[in-house]
Order: sequence, then C-alpha cells, then structure tokens
Amino acid sequence: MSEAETMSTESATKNSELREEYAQFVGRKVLFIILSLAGIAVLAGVAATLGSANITPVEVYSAILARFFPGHFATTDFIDTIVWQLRLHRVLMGIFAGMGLAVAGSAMQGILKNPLASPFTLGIASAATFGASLAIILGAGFVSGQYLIVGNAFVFTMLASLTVYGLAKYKGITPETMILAGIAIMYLFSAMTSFLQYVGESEEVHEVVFWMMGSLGRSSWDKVGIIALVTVVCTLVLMYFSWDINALGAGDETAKSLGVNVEFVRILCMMLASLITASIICFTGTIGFIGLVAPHITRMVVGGDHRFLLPASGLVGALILLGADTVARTILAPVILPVGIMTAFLGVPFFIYLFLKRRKDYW
Amino acid sequence: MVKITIKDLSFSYGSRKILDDLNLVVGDSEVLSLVGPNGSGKTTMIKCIDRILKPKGSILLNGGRDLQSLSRQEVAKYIGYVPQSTMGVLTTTVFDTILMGRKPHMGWRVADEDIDKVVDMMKLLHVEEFALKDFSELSGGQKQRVLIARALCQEPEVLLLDEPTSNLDVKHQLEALDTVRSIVKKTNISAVMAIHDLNLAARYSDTLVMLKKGRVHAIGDPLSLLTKENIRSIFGVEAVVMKDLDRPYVVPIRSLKGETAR
Repeated sequence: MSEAETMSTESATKNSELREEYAQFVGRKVLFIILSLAGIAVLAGVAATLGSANITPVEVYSAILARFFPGHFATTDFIDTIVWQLRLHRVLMGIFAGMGLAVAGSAMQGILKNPLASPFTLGIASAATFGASLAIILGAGFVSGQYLIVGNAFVFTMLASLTVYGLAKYKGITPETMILAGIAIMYLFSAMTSFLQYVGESEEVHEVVFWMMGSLGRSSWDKVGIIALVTVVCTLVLMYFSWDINALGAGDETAKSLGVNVEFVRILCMMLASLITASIICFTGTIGFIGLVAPHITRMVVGGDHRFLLPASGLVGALILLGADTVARTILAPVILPVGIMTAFLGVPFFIYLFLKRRKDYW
Repeated sequence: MVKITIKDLSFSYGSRKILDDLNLVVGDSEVLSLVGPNGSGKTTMIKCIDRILKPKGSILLNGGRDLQSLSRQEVAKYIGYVPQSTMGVLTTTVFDTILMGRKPHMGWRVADEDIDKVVDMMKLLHVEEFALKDFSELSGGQKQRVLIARALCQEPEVLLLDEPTSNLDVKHQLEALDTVRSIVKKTNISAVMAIHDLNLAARYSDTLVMLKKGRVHAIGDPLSLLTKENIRSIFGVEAVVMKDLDRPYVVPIRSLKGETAR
C-alpha cells in the first residue's frame, strides 16, 4: 500500500470511529429515556399499591390490565374500584403534572439561557395564587360554579404571561427583559394576594394557604384528561422546535445567523410553557421545584440537546412528582401531606448538593 | 468574480448613525479585513451583512438576489458567522455545537450526511479529539476553531468573523488566521473579518477596508493602504510603517492627543 492509501484508510477509520462514538452518545440518551419510562411504570404500580386498603402490587397490575385485556387478567370489584376510582387517576395526575412542569421548566431554561429559570420565573405562580384567592375570598371570577377557582387561576396565569410578553416586547424580547418583567409581575400579584388575605376571613385565608401548597388530592379522571392532553400536545410542539431552542443557547446573534427567528421561537416556547403550567397548577395549586430540579438532573445525564432533554426531563419530572406524592401520602399516614411541601423538602437538599459538588462555573 | 456587492448600506441605533452609505465589493476567495478605531462600525458592519441587525441598503449576491429579501434560513445557507468566542451557560458538546451549523440544511432528524459533514469539519480544524468534550472546557484557541467549524458546516459562500483574534495568544492568533486564509484559498469561500490588529490584518488579508465613523475611509491592498498618513488620519496615532518585509509592518509611536480621529 502506498503512503497516501495508508493515510486515507487511517482517516476513514477515524471517521467511522467518530461516527460510532457519536451514535453511542445518542444511544445513551435513548437508553435513559427507556429506563425512565420503565421506572415510571414500576413506581406507578407501587404508588397504587400503597394506601389504607391493603392490596398487593400483583393485584394492582392485574386490575389495570383486566380493563384492557378482560379475558386474560382477573380482578375483583373491590380492587377494581380502589385502583380505578381512588388511586389510578391520582397516580396519572402525578405523572402528567410532573411531566408538564418539568418540560415547561426545561423549555424556559433553554429560551432564557438561565439554569435557574422555571415557569414560575415569569410570575405565573403568584398570578395563579391571586386568581384562586380572588375566587376563594371575594367569590369573584371569570367563570362560575365549581370551576371558579380553577378558571380564575388559569385566566390570571395566562394574563401574567401575556403581560410579561407585552412588557418585554416593548423593550425587545431578550432573556433579561423577560426575567425583569416577570419579577415585576410576580411582586404585583403577591402584593395583591397579600391584600386579599388581609381583608379575608380566617377560614378563607386558610383555604388560600392550603391551595398555595399544591396537592394532587383534587384529582379526577377528567382533570387528568385535560392535563395529559395539554402536556402531550405542547411537549410535542416544543420538541419540534428543539433545534431552535438549542441554537438560542449559543446566543441570540449566533441563533439568528443559523437561521432562527429568535423572537418568534422565544415567545412561542414561553407561551407553550405557560399554557402547560397554567393548566396544571389551576387544578393542583402551585407545586414548586419540579420545573427546576428535574431539568437539572436530566441535563447532567443526557446533556443539553433539547431533542432529548425535553422528553427526558418530562419523564424525570413525572418520577419525582409521583415519588414525592407517594411519600407525602404514606410518611405520616393516615395524614396526607400536600405534595408541594414534599417537593420543596426534596428540592432544597438537591440544590445544596449541587452547590457543594459543582466544580465548574456553568451547568 | 464578485461574491457580494454591498450598496448604500446604512444603519442607525435610534438617531445615532453607525454606518453611513457604505459601498463594498467582496470577490471570490478573497480575505477582506475591516480595520478602524473602536466605534468605527467594524462589528456593526459584520452584523449587518449577516442581517443580525437590520440595515438599510442592499447586499447583492452574485446572482443579483438581495440578501435583504431572503428568509433567515436562506441567509444562513449563504453566510456563516463566527462570533467572538462566547460562552454559554448551558452545556453542549463540541460535536453538538458544530452540528448546529447544519441547522439551515437539516430537519429534526440528523441525517448521515450531516454527521459526515461535522466529522469532516472537525478534522479540517483539528478538533476531532475533543468531539464529546464540553465546549466550555476548551481553551480560547480551541473554541475559536470549533466556532469556525460550525460556520463552515453551514456550507456558506461567505465567512464573517468578528474579532477572530481577540482573547487569543500570539501563537493561536497566527494559527486561527492561517486556518481562515488556507480555507479561503483552497475553496471558493470568501472571508470578511473585523480585526483590530493592523499587522495581522496586513499579513493575512488581500484587501483592507479602513472605516472611520461609519464611513469607508479607504479601500486597497495592505501595502498601499497602510501609510503613515492613513493611520494618523483614522486612528490619531503617529506610526512608523516598515515596508522592507513582503507585507507592511506598523509600529505605533505615540497617540496624537487632540487630533484623535473619533
């Protein structure tokens, strides 16, 4: 073989090595997603098993599968009722709410290029709380009847996002303007909530405080349906824009030079993240930390490519919220703690860990 | 052959005019450097050509199409931009950073040919050993090479470089510009760069454009353009220009206070 031939063979080997290496790199991310899915399936079974009525995991899975394959799996009416009417919708609510909050969080962190951003950075949580307080304390709102609190929380959340959008648009849509506008909105709504609490009766104030803690206790099949639909559709749209979000991470100018319509993508993703969050927290109350912690953990494992980061952090969020709710239901049984308290307790040690272990000055 | 023709390009921030009726022609396989004092509009010019900023005037491609009328995605297929080495807060690997250059050409899925292109560019710029390392862990010179590789993955006709030598030591300054020049000479790509260092500009450019207060002060080859008079007039600096090497060499002597060009 001539020298040139040897060299070209060598470089071909090098090429295929690099390609192979990259394929493995992508393969690891896919593996993580598959493992997370399996983890959720197992945890869901465990979560549906734990509770005041004693049933075994096998009975739980049989009850679930019996509905889909009636001939192949047998169950009793008692177990079927416990699983399908009491526990399963709460488990699924945990899964989809956790998924939605985490996806919204990673989308916000991506478009704001800030690892400490979350859907709540834009003042969404305080707007939802204000909407709920308005309904609980003054009985005033945009819809009436049983959906008064839910409707109010949702409407005020979207109102807050639109205001942030409007303010940012006025000065140019950059991460800085959005975060500053978000902080202003957050303080505005918490001041108004404080005012309502000041004039409210103590029972009403108690109800507001309880609402703020966030809980899956109000779950039902139709709420699960709404949350699942919004979360899945919005996640798919966000994933469609993964490359644009990735490009934003390299800086606005670079993103523009790569052909990204920067302002459009940023606003679209912000609105989708707000929509997911609004449709979850209007039913559950504010559940913090999931949107912050899940994307962090996931980024450490799968890296910053949003094609994988978005779905993977959704699954991690589902695992965390479902796990936290399971602990909240069982740790002081028969007392059921609001899951919002659990996520905060889980989130704080995690951040202290990050703070102590992190050697690099980036995420 | 002409690659792009810039006609009557103007840009203002509010009422402050940054670029004022600039006219410029960039040829095939040409390295063109924009030089001038701080605030003369070098970087703004680069950003206007890539439509990161929205200038008035026209930027004509050699087929006669105006860059101003194209979508962002189409501009991205024609022009590659190498920013001053920036550091993102969120992590990406070198491979993914370079793969981003395929954005204007690829869909959601990464095709084999995109991967091939990335691998080729990594080898061309000698960054293949860092493929799966984090971009932010690289040194300044390595980052610069990765960013050039990303821009080349766009398969552009024109490469724009904003201060490609800032933050680099002498060795890496030479290497970065050697790379740019050799790519330009080997392919049909042209390069336009904003650069501070007159001597590096003289050494690596075919054409220099001297900017002063957003206007073209002079255009020409380095030898004819780097004169004591021109340097005094645009920088307000007294300098000695040595021409005994094959390229002119500028040694600044003192600042002429009160006569500064700005």
